[in-house]
Amino acid sequence: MIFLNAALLVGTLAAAIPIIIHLLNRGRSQVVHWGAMQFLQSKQSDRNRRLRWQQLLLLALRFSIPLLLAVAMARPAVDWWRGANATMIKRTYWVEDKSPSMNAKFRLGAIDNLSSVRLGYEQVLSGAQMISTLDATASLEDCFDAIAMEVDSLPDEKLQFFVLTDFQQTEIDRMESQNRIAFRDRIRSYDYPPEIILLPKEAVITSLSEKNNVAVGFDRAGDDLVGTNQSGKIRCVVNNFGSKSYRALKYEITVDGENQTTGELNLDPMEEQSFWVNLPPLRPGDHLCRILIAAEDDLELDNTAVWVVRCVEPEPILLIHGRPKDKGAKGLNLDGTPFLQLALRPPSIDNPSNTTSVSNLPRLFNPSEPIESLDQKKIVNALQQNSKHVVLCNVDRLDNNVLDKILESTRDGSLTIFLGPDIALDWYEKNLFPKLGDVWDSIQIRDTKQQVFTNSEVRTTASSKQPWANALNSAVEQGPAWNVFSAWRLSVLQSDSINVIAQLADNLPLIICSEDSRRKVILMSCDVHPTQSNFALLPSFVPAIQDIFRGLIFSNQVQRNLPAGEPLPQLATPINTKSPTKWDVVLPETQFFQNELKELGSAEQRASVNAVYKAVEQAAENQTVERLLATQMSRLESNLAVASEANTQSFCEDVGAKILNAESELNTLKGYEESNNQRSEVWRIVLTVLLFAMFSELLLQRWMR
Amino acid sequence: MQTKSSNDELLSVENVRSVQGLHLLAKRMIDGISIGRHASRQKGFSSQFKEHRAYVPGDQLRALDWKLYGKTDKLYVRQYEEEINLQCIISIDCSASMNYCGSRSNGMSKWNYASAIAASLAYLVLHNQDAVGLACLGEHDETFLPPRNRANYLQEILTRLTDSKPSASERGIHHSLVTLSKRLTKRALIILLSDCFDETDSLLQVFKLMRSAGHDIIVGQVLDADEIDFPFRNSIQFQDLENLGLQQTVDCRLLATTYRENFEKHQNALRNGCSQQSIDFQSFVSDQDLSQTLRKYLVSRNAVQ
Repeated sequence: MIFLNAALLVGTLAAAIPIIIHLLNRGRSQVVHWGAMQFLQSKQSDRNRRLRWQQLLLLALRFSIPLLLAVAMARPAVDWWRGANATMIKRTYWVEDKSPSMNAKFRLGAIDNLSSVRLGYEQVLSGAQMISTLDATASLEDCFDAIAMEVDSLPDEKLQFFVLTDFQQTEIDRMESQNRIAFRDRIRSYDYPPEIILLPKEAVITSLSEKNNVAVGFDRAGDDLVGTNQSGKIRCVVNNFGSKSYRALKYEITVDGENQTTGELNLDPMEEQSFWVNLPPLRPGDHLCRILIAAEDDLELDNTAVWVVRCVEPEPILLIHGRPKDKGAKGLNLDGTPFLQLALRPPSIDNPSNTTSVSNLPRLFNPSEPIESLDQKKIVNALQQNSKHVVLCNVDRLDNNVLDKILESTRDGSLTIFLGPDIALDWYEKNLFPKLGDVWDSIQIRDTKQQVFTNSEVRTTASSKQPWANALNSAVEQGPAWNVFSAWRLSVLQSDSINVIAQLADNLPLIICSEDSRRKVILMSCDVHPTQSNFALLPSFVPAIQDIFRGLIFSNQVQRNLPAGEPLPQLATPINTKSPTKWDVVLPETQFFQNELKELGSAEQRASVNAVYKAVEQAAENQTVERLLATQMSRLESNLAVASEANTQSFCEDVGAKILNAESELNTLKGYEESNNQRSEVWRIVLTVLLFAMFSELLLQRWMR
Repeated sequence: MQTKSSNDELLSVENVRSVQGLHLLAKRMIDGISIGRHASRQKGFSSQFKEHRAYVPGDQLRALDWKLYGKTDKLYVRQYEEEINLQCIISIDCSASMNYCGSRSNGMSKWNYASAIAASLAYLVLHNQDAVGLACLGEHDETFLPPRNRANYLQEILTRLTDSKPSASERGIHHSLVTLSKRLTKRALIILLSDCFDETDSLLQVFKLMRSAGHDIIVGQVLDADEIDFPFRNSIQFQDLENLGLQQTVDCRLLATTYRENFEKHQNALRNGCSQQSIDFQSFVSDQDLSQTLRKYLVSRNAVQ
């Protein structure tokens, strides 16, 4: 309890007033020499006893009234948050564990554990008198060495230590018994054992790479493995968080109870390591996948991550391939353009160098029909059949109506436009770009002058004086150049840190991903090779393009076995003909993955994990996959909460350190306003007791009369 | 000089005047040495004819009623009531409790009040040619003046009263009364002036013994007004007059009712006990006018008689 007006506590001296009055009255008590004592002695002992109790009670009440009044005026407050001895603490030290495990990131694109908790504790410790961050070096042991040195050099003051650590079990386990005893004794030797703040356990359970599909990580005890997935191609990221006990690992992939892949990994203790796991083409629906990663000497099922792979209906891509009217104009050489090869036909998983010619793609219409004979009507008919993902390659003579239909059809999918310089000019002359500006939220292009245009500017290109039109004209006039417009509505990269995918050449515009909306607009301008390849791709461009089209890869894998000329299957979900209000459609597995990302590290993660587990159990039940997996999942869940902290708990109890949880501390901080209210409650309680004491005093006096 | 002035104070003009013309009459016949106005149970020669009795051999012939013999032809002897002088013992309580002087008593303690009564009564008795004696009932002062009817005996009584002072006594007055009773060889009128703050049973037992010895007893209880109504209100430390080591601090507001109950019970027991033994019981309150109170009492006593 603290007093907000501690100076007024001097008023508690007033409590002595009744005692002084009592003593003064006692000294002046009247003495009567009396003869009839015999009449006074009847039942006197009982009366005296009762009288004494009454007097004592009366004295206590009279004593408490000024005392309570003074206490109430001193504004007592119970500081639930900082504890009873909060006011005693003069200096607060903030000790950080900078072991490698503290560098783990538990959220994609987020800061590491130490930084995140440090940020949180800046709020917690803001009320402290003084903060000193000890720059410990490598391990927790070194942290305590630093504490010991610091304590020795400090004046004799009340100290409080906050140690931010994940208390990685390996740290403690590595210590020899003698060292551990010495370490324990050292902590105990402090007058003020540190309050060890454990990081949220989610922080060290899972580590996600920036571009991954799957995240696999050990918890801090090195026992458990968790993971999730996005699509048929799984990237596992394994991080042992500095544990030297787990270097050589074996992994085994099982889909629906069938072994798919096995292999071995050699981990660097200080680095996370990733590897790709390919799933076979799967039929639409949910599939139970399991990955078992274990140390060489530990093949227990604890190290199993189980998740559900949800395969969606194949989503065909409608490729509309045009040819410039003027045959002399520079056109698009599909087969000779690696860019389109990458975009439309990704490298085979088995053999990345083996690409399929675009000319061999299944065609919706008569393959023998010349491509230049494609008319608007056929385009419309094609759109009516499958239109979620459309790629326009050098399509000219495109009417406004047809473009409208294309835009409407692709609002839940994707639209990629490749235009050569002449065709781009044709689009410009037909005023088609403003439509793109109307549909898309944001368009940015940087020309050679690094000018930035917005979609509002694009929408107003009717006048040639507009900067957008000038830029186009400039691009066209400046010679051989391609303008590639790609609309992509997935959160393609799922990272906030990437906005420049590739730089094609030093003097050419860049590819810009707009971050303002989920509807990405990618404008690319490339050099055109006069004869053969139209693009000069930098090597770093290839994985970027792969990432862009990742969502289509899996669909193509399923679809590629369809016979040529056979109509594509109908979409499971009919096209919404209404005007789109939100271009936020993502593939289901992507949604799942994103949800998983959102929940990681938060209090709701448990619910999300539970949902996955229920799905696993359901899948196990439906597909008669071994039930042991589901059991192991619940065990895994409990391990997340308990097992990894058990040894840490016992250790901290052993050394007498107080364990705090960073997340609960932060929650307490949020409730600090409520504690202020509780302070006023104490006020009222004291005043109530005061009134009660006064009333009782009056009542007692009346009763004694 | 001091003694004389104190005597004058005791026997003030008012007190003496209050008893002028009044006669203290014993209810019962008392044996006395001299023939006075008080009837004796002994039959003898006197002018007061009582009865006739048949003559038996041995009777004095001069007692024969010859006239009656002439009328009835039988021998009768005339018998007369014999008048004797009153032998009165004024016994005054000399215990320390008599020293109490309440705020309403105008500085007159119970002892002073009782002494004044004793002096007045002694004067009255001597004025009636009766014998009066004085007995101080105390543990340390057991003064005893045998009854005399000399005129100058009053001065001696008053001197003794003046010289006597109440002192602490752990024994009750009933012990002193027993001693007094043993000293009296003849029946007498014993006037007890005391606050009677003693064990009631013991006191009544002594009264009974004295009554059986043929003594007539008048109990004059001298009280202070404070002892009757207990007017105290605050917490007061009472110090026992009889035993100075005994003190008791009480809250008078809480104890007043109990005190009054106890006092009333004591008074009732005492009054009833005296009534049963035909003992005249009279309470005197020290804040009341002595002459008036004494006059009323003597008038009422004569009326009863």
